Amino acid sequence: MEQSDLLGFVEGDCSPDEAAAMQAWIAADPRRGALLEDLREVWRLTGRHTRSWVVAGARIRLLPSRGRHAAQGSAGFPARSGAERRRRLMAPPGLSHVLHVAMIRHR
Amino acid sequence: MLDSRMHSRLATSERRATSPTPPTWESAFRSYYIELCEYVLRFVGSAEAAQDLVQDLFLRLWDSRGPRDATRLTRPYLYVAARNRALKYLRHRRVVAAWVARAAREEPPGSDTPEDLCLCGELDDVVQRAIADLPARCRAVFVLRRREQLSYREIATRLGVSLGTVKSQMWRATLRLREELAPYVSHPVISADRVG
Repeated sequence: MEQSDLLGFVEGDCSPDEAAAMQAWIAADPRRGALLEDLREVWRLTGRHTRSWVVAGARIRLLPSRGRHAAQGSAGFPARSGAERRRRLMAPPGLSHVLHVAMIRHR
Repeated sequence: MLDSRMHSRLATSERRATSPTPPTWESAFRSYYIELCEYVLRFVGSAEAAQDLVQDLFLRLWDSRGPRDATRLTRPYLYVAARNRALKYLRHRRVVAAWVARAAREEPPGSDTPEDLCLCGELDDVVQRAIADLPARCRAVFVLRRREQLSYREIATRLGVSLGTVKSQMWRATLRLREELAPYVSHPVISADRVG
C-alpha cells in the first residue's frame, strides 16, 4: 500500500474489499489518518463534490424496485432490487480482503 | 469552481429557509442524496458501497412513508440514519476496530452559516491562485480530474501520456496544493515524507 493510494480512497474509487484493506492500513498509523484528512481538505477546497454522483441514475434504480414509475424504464442503468442491494451490503468480506487485512495486522 | 459552489450553497440555504411545505420523500431525495453519499463515503471509502447504503436508506423511508415523515425526512435525521447504517456496514464487514472507532467520531457537517459562505468566497481567490501556480502538466491533470471529472484513463488519452503519469501528476498536484493551502485547512499538515 502506498500513500498515493489514499487518493483513490478519498475519491471512492475502491471496491468494498479494497476500501476495507485501506482502512486497516490507515488505522495502523495515525499519521496516515492525518494525511487522509489533509487530502480530504484539499478536495473540499477545490471542488463542490468528491466525485461525480449520478442522482438521476440512482432515482431511476430505486423506483422500479417499488413498482413506481416503472414505465420510465431503466434508461441504461442496471436496476438493482432492494433485496440484491441488501445482499451486496451484508455480504461477508471476500477471502482476498481477509488475507490482506491479516497481513497488515501481522506487519 | 468555488464561486459556483458558493452560489449553489446559497440557493440551497435559501430553498431550505423559504420552503413553506413539509419535506416529502422526493424533496428529501433531491436535496440530500448527494451530500449523504459524500458523508457515507468518508466512512466506507467506496462510492459503490456509499451509494448502496444511501439508496437502501431512501428505500426504507419510501416503504415506511407516513405521519412521521415530517421528522424523518429532515437533514439531522437523515444524517444520523446514514451514519448508523455506515457503522453497521463497517462492523458487519469486520473492518478493523480502530477505523470503526475513528468513523464513529465523525460529526455530520453543519449547515453553512453566512460567515462560512463569506469565507468560502474569500478562499476562492487563494485556491484558484494555488491551482494556477501548479506546474503545467500537474495543473492540466488536476483540472481535468477535479473540474471536468474525467477518469484517469480519459485524461491519459486526452493528454497523450501513460496512466501511471496521470496518477503520479495527480498525486504531485494534490501534495503541492496541500502545502499551499495548509493555512486554510482545519488542522496542522504533516509532511508526507514523515508518513510511512
